[in-house]
Amino acid sequence: MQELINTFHIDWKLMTAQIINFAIVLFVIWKFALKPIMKTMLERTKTIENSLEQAKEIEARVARTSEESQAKISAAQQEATVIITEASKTAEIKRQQAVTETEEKVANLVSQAKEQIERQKQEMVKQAQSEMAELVVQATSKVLEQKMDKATDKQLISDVLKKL
Amino acid sequence: MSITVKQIAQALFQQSQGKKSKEVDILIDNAFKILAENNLLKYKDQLLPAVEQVRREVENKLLATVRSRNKLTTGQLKEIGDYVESKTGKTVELAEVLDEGIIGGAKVTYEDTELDLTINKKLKVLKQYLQTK
Repeated sequence: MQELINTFHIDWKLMTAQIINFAIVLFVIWKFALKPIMKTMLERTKTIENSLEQAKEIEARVARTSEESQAKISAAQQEATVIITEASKTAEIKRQQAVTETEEKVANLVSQAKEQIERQKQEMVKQAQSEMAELVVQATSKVLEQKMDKATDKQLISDVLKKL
Repeated sequence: MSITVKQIAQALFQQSQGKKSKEVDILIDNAFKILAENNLLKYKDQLLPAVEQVRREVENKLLATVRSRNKLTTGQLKEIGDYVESKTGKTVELAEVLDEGIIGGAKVTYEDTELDLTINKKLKVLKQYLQTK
């Protein structure tokens, strides 16, 4: 030990003073530099961690909002699809009704026109028959008036009286 | 209460029973006065036929009118009279009317009955048949 001290010229007093100085310097550095730095670092770490948590929370919220929005959009799209389908069905039903009503009206008009034509035809036939009957009777009357003399009339009356 | 031509005719007929011609003329004059008093002069032409009708009713007779273009024979008129009597049970007085509108045959009317035996009727039936055929 003594050899070691002699070899390196160790001065216990000086070494002690240096150790004390070092300790003082170390204390000062810890007190006024490392401690605030550590405190600041811890605060920054907490802040960063909070920020990260908030970022995650925001991201999750955004994700939830996005899902909700997507769900709402999907629901709205489905509702819109249903409404459009219903509207299409209603429009188709109305169109069919309109077509049916129009067809019925046309059929009625055609039927009425046919009936009117038939009535007119019947009236014409009836009128023609009536006129023909009138002509036949008039012609027969004329012929009978010319042919009917007293003797024929007398015979005619006798014949009808026999049938009484 | 208004009086009718038939009531006047009934009264005139009853009053004229057994009366002489001059007395009947007076009754007729009175009947026309009653018509005038009751504003019935427009029916004056109906008075004597109405008296005749009253007489027939009293005597249970009826008037049958025979219309024809030509005058009927006595035998034909008798046939018609017998036929109407058989249908009504009344004694028939026939009135013969010549009608140029009749082509041939005869038409007999009595009470509410019409017996149309004319060519006109047959032509009318023919016309109806042709129109409805």
